[in-house]
Amino acid sequence: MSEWRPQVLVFLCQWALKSDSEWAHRTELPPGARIIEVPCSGRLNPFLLLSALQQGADGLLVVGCEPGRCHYKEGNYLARRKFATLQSFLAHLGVEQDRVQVVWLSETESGKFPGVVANLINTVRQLGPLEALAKRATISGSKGTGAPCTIEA
Amino acid sequence: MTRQKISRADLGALLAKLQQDYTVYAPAEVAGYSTFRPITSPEEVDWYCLVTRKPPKELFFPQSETLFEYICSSDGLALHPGEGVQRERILWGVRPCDARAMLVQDTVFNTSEARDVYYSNKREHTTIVGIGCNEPLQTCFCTSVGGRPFRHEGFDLFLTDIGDAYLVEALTPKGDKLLEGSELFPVSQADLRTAQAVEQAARQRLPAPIDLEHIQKRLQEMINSPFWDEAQAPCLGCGICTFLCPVCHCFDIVDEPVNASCGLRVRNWDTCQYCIYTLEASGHNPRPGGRERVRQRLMHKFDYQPLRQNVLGCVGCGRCVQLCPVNIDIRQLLVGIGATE
Amino acid sequence: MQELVQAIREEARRLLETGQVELVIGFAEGTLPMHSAPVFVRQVADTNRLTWNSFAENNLARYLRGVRNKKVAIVAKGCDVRAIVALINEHQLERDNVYIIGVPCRGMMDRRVVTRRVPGEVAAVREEGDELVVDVRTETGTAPQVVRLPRSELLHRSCATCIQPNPVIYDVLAAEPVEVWAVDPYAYVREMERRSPAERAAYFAAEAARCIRCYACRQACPMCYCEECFVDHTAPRWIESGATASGLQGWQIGRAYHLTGRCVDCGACERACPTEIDLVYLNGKLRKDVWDLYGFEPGMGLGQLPPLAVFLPDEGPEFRP
Repeated sequence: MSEWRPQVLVFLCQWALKSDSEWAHRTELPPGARIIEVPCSGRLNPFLLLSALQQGADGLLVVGCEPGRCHYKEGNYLARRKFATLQSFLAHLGVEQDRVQVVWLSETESGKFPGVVANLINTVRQLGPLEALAKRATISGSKGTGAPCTIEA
Repeated sequence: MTRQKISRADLGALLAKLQQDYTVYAPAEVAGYSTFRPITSPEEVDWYCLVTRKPPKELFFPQSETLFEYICSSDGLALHPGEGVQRERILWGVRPCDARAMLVQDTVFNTSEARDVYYSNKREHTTIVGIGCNEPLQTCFCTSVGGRPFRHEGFDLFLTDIGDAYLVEALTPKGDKLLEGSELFPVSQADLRTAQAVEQAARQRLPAPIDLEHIQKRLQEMINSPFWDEAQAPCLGCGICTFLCPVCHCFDIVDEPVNASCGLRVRNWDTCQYCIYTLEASGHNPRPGGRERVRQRLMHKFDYQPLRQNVLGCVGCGRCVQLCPVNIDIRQLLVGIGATE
Repeated sequence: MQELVQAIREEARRLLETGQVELVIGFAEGTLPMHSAPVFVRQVADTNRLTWNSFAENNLARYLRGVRNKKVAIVAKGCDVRAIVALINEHQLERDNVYIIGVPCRGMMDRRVVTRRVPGEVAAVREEGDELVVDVRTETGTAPQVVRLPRSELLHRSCATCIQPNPVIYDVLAAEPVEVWAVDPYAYVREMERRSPAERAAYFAAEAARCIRCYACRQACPMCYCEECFVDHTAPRWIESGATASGLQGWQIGRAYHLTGRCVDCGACERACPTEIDLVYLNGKLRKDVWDLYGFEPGMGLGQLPPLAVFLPDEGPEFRP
């Protein structure tokens, strides 16, 4: 059994990073962090977050734009109540408070993106692997070796 | 096949001994109610639970069962079925209605023409120990549908509680095996009279047989009857009656992808009471409303199964009666059907 | 209680006789002790089947689904009326199509609690003042044993912490309003909040593990009216379809979350659940959050907007980096 490393999934609003270079460098993240780009943080169905936790994510980060600056006007306003209630509900189910984070980046703050991700990874590393919430099925390897199937990165 | 007697203490000791070689499932407490689960000691057994919350069918036909794993690779498609039962099992404390229900399930999953390997593997490796019902509940109605509280069919071993001891009867070689090495006593005439009295008392608490042929005939004739409008009105369309029924056996097979190249094929319980059960890809639904679905449940149990499988689809356990959230009572429906013109 | 039953029957009779409604939805005697059965009365002659007692526990608002172009009457207690209001606010129902025979409610009794408090099978019950008198079955030929239980110890959990026993809206009130208890509707949730994350995770896992995905909770709930439930989506399949741990937890989480700001705490789900899953604490958390964060409780007044469909520009959380 190899040593555990935190796995976090980052749902990044495509408008949150303002400069071209920030956008180009977005995938240069610490190992264990993967990005899923979404057109707006408001697009996120809470089931996507639940699904990520059930499939092995130890932490989640949603990065969106500051309310009032949403490209689609109200996406993040509507998302705000969703995320607040979802975070609280997940905590109620035993998912530690800081594992699922939401960050709005203002127009001048997009450079903070790598730091925010690193911060989550550190937090999750200290919390350890996510124990709450049962995981979805994995497959014992093709010759019954017990190695789970993974998607090639 | 002779009856012998075993003391209560020795029966407990026997059970403890059997746990060394078998995984024993018995009615035991779970969150305030009793249902079949693996026990770690005989003290956990709820000896007086007549009707477990969930029926024992899940020991042979689990709610969700992985049929196989599939893996696509450059070598092609590989299918890996799971392993069968690894340790012999005992299903302890089953009542005659539930055993009768298992025989009905056998007509679906375990016939010479069609043997479901998942089901039959579990059946082969399970010994079923039954116990007669001294005090049937108000919701019990096995006698209405051709059953009896001390019926022996479907068991490997049968116990009768005569107060200070149990009468025990091995009915099959599997049952004999369980009794090896146990201290058993011969049964006296007095014991037999007690057993008879116990059975008599039980039968007195149970309702009279109903005219099943008449019910079947009426069901065939009353497809369009307004009776069904009233019967279905309160039905919520949940799955409780069918999932908790020891006879019901519908299932759905789905693939659960793990990722793009591998996954599991799973069989899950399904119920004719869901509105989408008969929904077709075209959008047409031959059973579009509660009327059709409630009617179909009665017809399947009291007409189609007798017609096709020569067996009744209801054993009178009363679980659906106890647990329907809106008190749809199949006994009341049967009375109503019988009374229609 | 008898006066209340008479009042309900008389009103039903009047409504059907004058043709004001086509149907009266209420409760009739059940076939088992401690059960009442939802009944659908269309004929004046059948109005005598209508009854009321402390086992009228189903939320009858559930049966108002799809009521269009006709008028129905419903015998509704406090929480049922909250559901009706919530449905109207979600445009699932027109106020004009529903004639509410409101019943101020003293709380429904939980037959599971009664069953566990007596030393045998319950043969019959009757309500006498603040007590439930239970006839317990004994050996054939002997008289039943009688056990008296205080009503206050038998209430369903949602009833014990009910904030709205009196119908919020109604066309006629079948009895005098009842006193509203000073209770904490979130007591069960607060208790859970005091536990550690690991304890909460273990509790949830144990509760969800008993689920059999019969969907009785969904079917009994007046607010679960989606024509296609998320569990039946296959593209994508949001959660595992079977009785695996993740599938069961996914179902419980998904349904609870879809009730955010919509659950009226009637408890119908918990009562319907055949494996007695603790749904009050699960749905209760989101109810408490919506109250704490947005000052909202569903079904308390016509015209309220669903809290997850609206926002205030300057509300939190701030979600600063």
